[in-house]
Amino acid sequence: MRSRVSFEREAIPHLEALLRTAVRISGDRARAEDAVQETYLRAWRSFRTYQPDTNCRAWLFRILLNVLKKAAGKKRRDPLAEAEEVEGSNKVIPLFPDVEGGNRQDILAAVSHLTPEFRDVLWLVVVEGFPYKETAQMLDIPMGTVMSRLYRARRELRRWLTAPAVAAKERTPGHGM
Amino acid sequence: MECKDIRKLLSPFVDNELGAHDAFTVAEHLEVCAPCQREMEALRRFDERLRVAGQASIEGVAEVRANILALFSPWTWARRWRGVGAAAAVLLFLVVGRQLFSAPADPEATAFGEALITEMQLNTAQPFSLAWLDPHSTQDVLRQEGLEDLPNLGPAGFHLEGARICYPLSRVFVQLVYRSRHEEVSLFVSRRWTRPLSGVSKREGFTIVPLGLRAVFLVSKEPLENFADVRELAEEEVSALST
Repeated sequence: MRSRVSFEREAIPHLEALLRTAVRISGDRARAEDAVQETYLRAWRSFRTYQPDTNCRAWLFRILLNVLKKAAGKKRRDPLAEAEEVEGSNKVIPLFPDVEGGNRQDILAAVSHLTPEFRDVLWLVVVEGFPYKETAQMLDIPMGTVMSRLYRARRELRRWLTAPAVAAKERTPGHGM
Repeated sequence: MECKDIRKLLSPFVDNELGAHDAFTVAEHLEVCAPCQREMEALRRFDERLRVAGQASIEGVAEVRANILALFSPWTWARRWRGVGAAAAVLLFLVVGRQLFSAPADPEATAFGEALITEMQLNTAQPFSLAWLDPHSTQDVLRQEGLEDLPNLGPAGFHLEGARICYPLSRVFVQLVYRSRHEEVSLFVSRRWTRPLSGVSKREGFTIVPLGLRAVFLVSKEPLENFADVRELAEEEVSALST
């Protein structure tokens, strides 16, 4: 039987993580709250199929990402192709120089400037701590793509935090990003 | 491996996502390469800062949690139920399949049937639009109405999945939802309903099958399985109407 009590026990503890992720991805608090509520509605509808021993958190995140993706609607650009355009030469440059500047807001602002595909992977792996495999399942992409996007997301973030003005200029239309 | 190759592996290395061979290769390189070692440490430090920034508490979580919990609070139905009072009759509606249909019922029955279909559709379209009762509350409300045996009326092979209070045409009903592996059946029960429906009718892909004076079966779009008993009753009803 569909149990409200077990649903609350399993699903509600993940609400804060879902909400902060929704805020970060949607960029809007009201839309994030709507998305989280829709996530719980969908989760409740399919809760009868949920296996108690499976990862409820990953399951909820997958629903949330689908909700957010549907809400976003428009087709996204190919971030990997774009990243390749600006990656440049093979010379050894710091992947992630020791960026000590910037407070929490700076960091989160930099994250929000990432291409959505890069941002989503970075957030799920680094902030929410999901393994690559679960992240790949949630985003419905191969694990190799998770690895590739994560590498580039970290690198892009470094660009924003070391020279945000330059990065902003490069990301405007006509600058290859 | 050269530094440029190692640095492409640092991201999965700090995430503990490298295979044993690659992880060993990277670790060996880091032991002898100070620049790569510094970069790995910088990467780890920044990840930690991002993690702390990202996981910082956000405002208003308690309100969001309360709003979500309120959507399926058992007390939501209770407040509505108190305002309406006891019902007067019993109707039984079951959801079955598309095989059954016949002449339309009278206007009131038609309107009532459509209201029931709406309730059925709400089950899946807006599961929180009306609160589901927990098992204890279900038994309480059925006992209160003298209907405690009704959950056993579900067809063979089905289990009682849940119950809720609903209001087709402003009449108070308890909706008992039974489910088998692939099918859903709803039994609408009310002591308030005094006028028996007559005739099997089909609307919007659902078929409503009244059975006798006190029971009406509502038939869904889903294929029928294990419903011989319900079908037999419905066919009797159709036969009675045709004669």
